[in-house]
Amino acid sequence: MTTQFNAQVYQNAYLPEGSQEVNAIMTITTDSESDGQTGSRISGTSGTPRVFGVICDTSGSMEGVKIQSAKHAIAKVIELLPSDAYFFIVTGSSQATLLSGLTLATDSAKNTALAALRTVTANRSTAISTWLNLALQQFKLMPGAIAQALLLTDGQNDSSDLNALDKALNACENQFQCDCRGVGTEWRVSQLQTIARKLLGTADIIADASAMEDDFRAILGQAMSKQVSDIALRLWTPQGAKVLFCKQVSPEILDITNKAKAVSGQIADYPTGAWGNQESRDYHFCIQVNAGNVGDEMLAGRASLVYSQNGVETKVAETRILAIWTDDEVRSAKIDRTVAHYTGQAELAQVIHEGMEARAQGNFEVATAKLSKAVQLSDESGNEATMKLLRKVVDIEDAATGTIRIRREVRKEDEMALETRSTKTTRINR
Amino acid sequence: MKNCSACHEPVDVSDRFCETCGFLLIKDSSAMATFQALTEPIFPNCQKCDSINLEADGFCNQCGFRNPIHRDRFEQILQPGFAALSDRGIRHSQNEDCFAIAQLADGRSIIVVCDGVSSSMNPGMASQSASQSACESVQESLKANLDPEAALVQGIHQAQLAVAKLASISKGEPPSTTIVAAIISDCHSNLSNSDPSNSRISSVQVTIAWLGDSRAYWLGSTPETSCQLTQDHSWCEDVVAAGELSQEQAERSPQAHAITRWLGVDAEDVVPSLVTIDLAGPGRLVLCSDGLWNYASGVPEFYQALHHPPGTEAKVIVRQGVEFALRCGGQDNITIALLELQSKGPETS
Ligand SMILES: [Zn+2]
Ligand SMILES: [Zn+2]
Repeated sequence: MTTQFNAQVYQNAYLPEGSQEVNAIMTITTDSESDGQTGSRISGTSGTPRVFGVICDTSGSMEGVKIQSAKHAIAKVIELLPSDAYFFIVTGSSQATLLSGLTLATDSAKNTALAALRTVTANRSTAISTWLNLALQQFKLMPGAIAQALLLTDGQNDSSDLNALDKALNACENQFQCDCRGVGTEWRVSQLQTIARKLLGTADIIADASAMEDDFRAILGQAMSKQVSDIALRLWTPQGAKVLFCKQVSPEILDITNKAKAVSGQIADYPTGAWGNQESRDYHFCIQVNAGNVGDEMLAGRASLVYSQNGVETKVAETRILAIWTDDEVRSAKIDRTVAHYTGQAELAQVIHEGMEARAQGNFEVATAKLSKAVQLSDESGNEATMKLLRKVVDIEDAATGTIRIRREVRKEDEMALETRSTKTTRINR
Repeated sequence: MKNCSACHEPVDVSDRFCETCGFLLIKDSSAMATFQALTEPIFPNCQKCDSINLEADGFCNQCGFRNPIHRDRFEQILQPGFAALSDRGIRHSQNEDCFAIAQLADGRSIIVVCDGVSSSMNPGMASQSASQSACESVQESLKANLDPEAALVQGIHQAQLAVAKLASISKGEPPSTTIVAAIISDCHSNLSNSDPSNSRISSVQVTIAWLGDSRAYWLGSTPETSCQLTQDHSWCEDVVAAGELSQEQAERSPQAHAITRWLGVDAEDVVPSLVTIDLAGPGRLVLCSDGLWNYASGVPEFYQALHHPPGTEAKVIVRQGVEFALRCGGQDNITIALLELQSKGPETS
């Protein structure tokens, strides 16, 4: 199976005199079709093995309907695993247990795992670091595989485990990707987001335990669609330039600026994880360059995707980010609409975060101002999913002008849903 | 194996067009020498940071700056009286104009000037592809004894195909360009029937075809004997011709200079305007892009801008013409092609 990568850059290259900041959106799409087009393809060794790890919280707080639903949903995932995939199950409380070691998803292996799953009970406290470390051990048994995990928890990590969790996350980074789900409302949004962001995964709330099965099924579907892993976004910048940020902005905002690995003084690799066919993601680069004179043209960046396998590096889909200095104000004043759109989406996520924080601190004045801006921005950009979440936290009189009233009584899960999902962006209509 | 001079992808020596970008691959070695290197940097080291690590298209791999490439300013001199020069000007970062000139063994000359439309994708490639395709096609047609008008129509058709081919590899607004092309044939008017004084005057036949607002002018020995030979396909020209607005009113509109015909897949009307005139020398035929005529639109001003004493070499005149446009602001790319037509009376008999 080959995966064809296509990339396109959206930007207004024209800058006014003295300006140093270059913004560009790179849209990357994948395709499996071999239509004979000049290819930018990466061939994963046919059928790169996929490993799916299930990491499930079994601390005492899971007792009751939550653990029952989790066991039920995990059983469903095991049943659905394709027979050519590998899997393992880690259960965790104050320490981690390998419920089912890494194995090919044969019928008999599945049955053994299902039997083990039935014996699971919930007790003791929560030390997520131990769960992740055990999962990492399992993933390391199959280097080169497409390594993905699903982590389910319902509570906060023990405060005694915080340092250990940091260490575990550093060890796991770039080793496997992990989607994180919080069930109920006793877990901390920021904690789960930290884990997900570090491990290039998503974080979300499962307020109602009965929704778990569908969600797990979707996560497994996504994971099994991946064809190639460890794809890096390589960015060359001119000498003296500085990358102010590099963010994934679609399907959701993920700042990967600090994940850069220097290849040389002018080249850095940003991890993007595994890719499936027919995927599409957008990345926003903001590069500060040395200002040129009017009439100068500069290559402000060269972005490509890099895949290494057995020490052989393949570079595809190279695109250019330009800067052209002009004294034509009409040209330089124009902001590319794609750049403008994602700048707006990033601001939307930011004001929701700040607004909800202010609200939690009882500062309703600031919260109203921030959430009013959020309502305006989601209205403008047509981000209906976020608007729907906002409606549960504020009463909207007029979305266009951001005339809102903050609700004093809000369900905890609605608050948490808005916080976890505020980074989901819409795409621009091209 | 060689590489396409436009997109640098490898091309097969037997190909007529680049498979990747549709660029016309010139086989004639002298023309190739002129155009092959057009997109390459002029200097071996970066003019900003002195690095020698330059991309094939001039971008510096160290500091990122785009270095001057031959395409920024290129000149071709076929005869002391026949030369062309194209310059990127001051305000544009790239030269999106192009020209192609040629002279056949039988003495007929061909001039093509194209001005890529800035808002389209790859305008520079469009003008380069169009001018070269048209020029090559016209040469072939003339050698095959097509009459000049038919040869020009065929040439512009070929240019349209070349530009349309570029569209398949460019996203966004399809590449487009203006074109003005001329064939100059000597035709000694030895038919001195009634007026004996006419027998000493020879005339040349000039056939011109165009789409858009690149122009042809005839410069006689005085402003009075000079004239503009083409009429722009522009919004301004169209509404004035239709009697809807006066020249003055139309000029004031922001869309005055928007062109109404061009080459490209998105063009509605690719039927060129055609004109054939007999011109009596001595004089100079000039084809140019709007980067020049914008600063000297009327015939007297244009005459003034390019006036030089008889015997001045064509290369000197085109260089001075470009200098003139640069001094006026160089807001656009500037391209000038000039052919001097001598007064060649019949040999004393
Ligand atoms: Zn090519
Ligand atoms: Zn340099």
